[in-house]
Amino acid sequence: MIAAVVLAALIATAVSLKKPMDEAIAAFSAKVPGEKLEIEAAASGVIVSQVEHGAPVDLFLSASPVEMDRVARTGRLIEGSRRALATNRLVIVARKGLAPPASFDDLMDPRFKRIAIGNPKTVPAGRYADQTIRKEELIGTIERRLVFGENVRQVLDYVVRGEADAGIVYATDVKLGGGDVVPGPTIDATLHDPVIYEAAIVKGEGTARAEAFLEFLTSPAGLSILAANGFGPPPAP
Amino acid sequence: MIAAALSLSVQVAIVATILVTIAGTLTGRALARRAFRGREVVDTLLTLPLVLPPTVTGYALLVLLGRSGLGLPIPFTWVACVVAAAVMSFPLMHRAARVAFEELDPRHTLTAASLGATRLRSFFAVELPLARRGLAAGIALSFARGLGEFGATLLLAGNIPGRTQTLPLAVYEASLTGDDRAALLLCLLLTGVSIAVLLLVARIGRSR
Amino acid sequence: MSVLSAAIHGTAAFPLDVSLRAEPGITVVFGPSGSGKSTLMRAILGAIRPSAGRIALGERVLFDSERGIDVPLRHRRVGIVFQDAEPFPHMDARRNVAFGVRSGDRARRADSWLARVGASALAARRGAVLSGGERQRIALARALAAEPEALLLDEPLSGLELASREQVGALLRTLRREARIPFVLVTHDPREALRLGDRLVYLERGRVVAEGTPAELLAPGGAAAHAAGSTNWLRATVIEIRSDEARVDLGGTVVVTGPLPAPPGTIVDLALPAEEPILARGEVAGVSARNSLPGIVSSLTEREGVVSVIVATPVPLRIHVTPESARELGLAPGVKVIVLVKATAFRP
Repeated sequence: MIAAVVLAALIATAVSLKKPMDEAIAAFSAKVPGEKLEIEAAASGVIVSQVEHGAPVDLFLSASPVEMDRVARTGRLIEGSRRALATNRLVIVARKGLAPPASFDDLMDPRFKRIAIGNPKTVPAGRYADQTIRKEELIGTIERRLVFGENVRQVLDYVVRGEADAGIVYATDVKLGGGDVVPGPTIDATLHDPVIYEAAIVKGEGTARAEAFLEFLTSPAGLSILAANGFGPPPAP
Repeated sequence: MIAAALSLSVQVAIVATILVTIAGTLTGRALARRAFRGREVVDTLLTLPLVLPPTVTGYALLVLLGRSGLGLPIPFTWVACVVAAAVMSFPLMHRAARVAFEELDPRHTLTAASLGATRLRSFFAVELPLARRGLAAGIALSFARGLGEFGATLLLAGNIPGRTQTLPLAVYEASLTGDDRAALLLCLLLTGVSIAVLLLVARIGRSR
Repeated sequence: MSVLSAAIHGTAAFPLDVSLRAEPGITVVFGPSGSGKSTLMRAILGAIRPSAGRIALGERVLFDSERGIDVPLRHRRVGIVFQDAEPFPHMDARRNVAFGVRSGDRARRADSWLARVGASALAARRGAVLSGGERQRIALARALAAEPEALLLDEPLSGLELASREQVGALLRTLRREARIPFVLVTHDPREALRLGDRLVYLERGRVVAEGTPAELLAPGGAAAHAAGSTNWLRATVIEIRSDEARVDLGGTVVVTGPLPAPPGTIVDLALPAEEPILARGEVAGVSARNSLPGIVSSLTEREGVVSVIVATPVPLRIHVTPESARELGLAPGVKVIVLVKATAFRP
C-alpha cells in the first residue's frame, strides 16, 4: 500500500456561517476521524474572486445565490452538487447607549449619524441592506451616512466599537455582539432578495472529502447545528 | 469610480505630503542635530509605521482616534485617508531628513551663526538649501507612499466610493467584483504615477 | 582697542586649563594634535561652554561662569575661518561675503571686501569651481565683512598648495595690519606659526607651557621646539641669488642654499632637517658640502637612541647623531665643532 499524504479539503464559507461551520466540522471529525478539513471565512464576494482566480477551494458556502451563480459561470462547480442550506433574516442593531430605531424608516433620525452596512458590491448582507434602503426610498437621505464593512462581521464590529451608530447585520450575528449592541427591528423579508445560503462542491483535489462533509451538513445532524445557531431552514425546493 | 478615486487619491497624497514634509523635516533635523540619551529609541518609535503591517497601524489609529479612543470625527472621512497616508509615509520623510541634516557640514551652521545669523535665518538660508537634495527625495518618496497607501486606509477610512475610496482601494474592489477592465486601468494609473515620481527623484538626485 | 582675554578652566569634553590674552595682531596658538587648541577655539567662539572661566572681548564680557553670563554664539562678534571649509556652496562668492554684513548696501560692501582680498573676479562664482586658495580668500572676506571684534583661524594655510600658501599668508599679514583686531590662529605647523605669528602661545595637553615670539619658542632649544619636530625652522634674509644657488643670512650666520625664488632683501623661511648636517671635530678639506660652519656645542640630549646636539654657529642648529658617533667624537658642551651642510639641505 502506498502511503499517501492526506491533504485537507478547503472549505470557504461566508463569514456569517463561520461559527456553525466550526461546530459542524468538530462534529463531523468526531464521527469520521481522519478526514482533514480546513476552513476559511470571508465575504462571499471575496471568495468568488479567489475561486475565479484558481484558489484550491473544495466546498463553497455562499450567503447568496448571486455569488454562487458567478462561480457556476466559471464552470468549476460539480454538476448537481449545488443545494440550499439555510436562510437568515436581516436585523438593525444600534450601538450601546442609543435607542434602536422603532422601524426601518426611523433610521432617518439624526441620532444615527453613521450607519454601517456591508459593501454592496462584495458582501451579500450589504447588498440585501442596500436593496431594502432603496425599496424604502431612503437612499437619498441615508446615502451620505453609510459606511461599508468588508464583511458582515466588520459591520457588527463598527457598531460594537461605536464607530457606527447603527448597522444592518444578520439575525444570527446579533448574539455575537453581546451587550455592546442593542437589537432593533427585524427587516421585512419582502424588502430584499431572499437570504438563501447555498453550498456547492468545486472541482479539485478534495472532492470526495467535500462530498462527505456536505452530506453531513444536509443530514438532520448538520441541519440541527444550523438551527441551533439561529438559522432558518432551507426553503422547500 | 475611476475619476473619483483618482481625484481623491491625488488630493489626499498632496495634503498628506505637505503635512509629512513639515513634520518629517523638523523631527529629522531635531534628531540629527544633537545626540541625546534615548535618541535611537525615539527614532525607532517614529519609524514604526514603516515596519509594522499597515493593517496593524490602521487598527491602532482606529482605536486611538475613533469613538473608543479620543473620539475625534476622523474615521470614514477623507481626513482619515490623509491621516493614514501621512502616518504611513512619515517615516520615509523623517529618515530622509535625518540623513540629509546629518550629512550637513556642521561648520556651515557654526559659520553662519558666527556671522550673526539667527537660528531661523540659519535654518532657511543655510541648512535647508544645503539639505534640499535629501529632502526632495524624501518628499517624492512620501508622496508615492501616500498615494499607494492601502491597509491603514482601509481600516481607518473604510472603502466608500466617492468619499474615501482611493486608487488602491478601488483596485482592490474592482478585482473583487471581477471588473478586470477597471482594475487594469487603475493599476496602470497608479503604476504610471509611481514611475513618474521615481524618475523625478532620480532627476533631483542628479541635478546640481 | 579690542583685546581678547580668555581664561578657561575645564570643559566637558577636554581638560583645558588656559589663560590667554590676545592683542590686535596675530596670536598663534601652537601645539601638537590633541593639545586642546580646537577646544580653546570653540570655547572662544561660543560653540562649547567651559565649566568655569571668563572670556572677554574689549569691554564686553562674553562668558563668565561666576556671574552666569554666556553670550550666544551669534551675538559674540567673533569671526571664524575654518580649515578647508568652503564658502556656502549654494551661494556665489558675493552673496557669501554679503551674508554677515549688518548694515548698508550689502552687495557693495561685499564687492569692496572681495576687492580687498583680491577676489573681485570671483564674485559670481560658486564653491565647486574655486581653488583652495580662492576659497580661503572668500572665507576671509566673508568673516571680516561682518565686522567682527576678533577673528579665529583654524590652520588657514594647511591643505593649500605652496603658491597659494604664500599668497594667502601674505594676505593675512596685510589684513592683520589693517583690521586692528586680535587674530587668533590655531596651528600645529611650525612654518605657519613662524610665517604669520606676532606672538606664540604653546599648548601642551590642555595647558599653556610657554609664551613668546614664534622665533624664540621654535628655535632649537626653545620651549616649543620639540613639538616642532626635529627640524630646524630658520628665518633668513636673502643676501644674494644666482641661478643655481643663493646666500642667506640666518641672523649672524651666512649660509649657501639651493636656488630661491625670492629677491635679495626678502625674508624666507627655511627648514633644515636635523639628520642632514654632519659634525666634524676639526677642519675638513675637500667635501662636497657648500657650508662649513664653525660652532660650539651648547647641549646634548639623548632620547630613543638618538643624540640631539645643539650647536651655536652662533645661530643654534639642532643636529642628530648616533650615540656611538657622539662618544667617538667626544662631544660635550663647550666642544668646538664644524657643521657641514649641503646647500640643498635648506628647504624653503
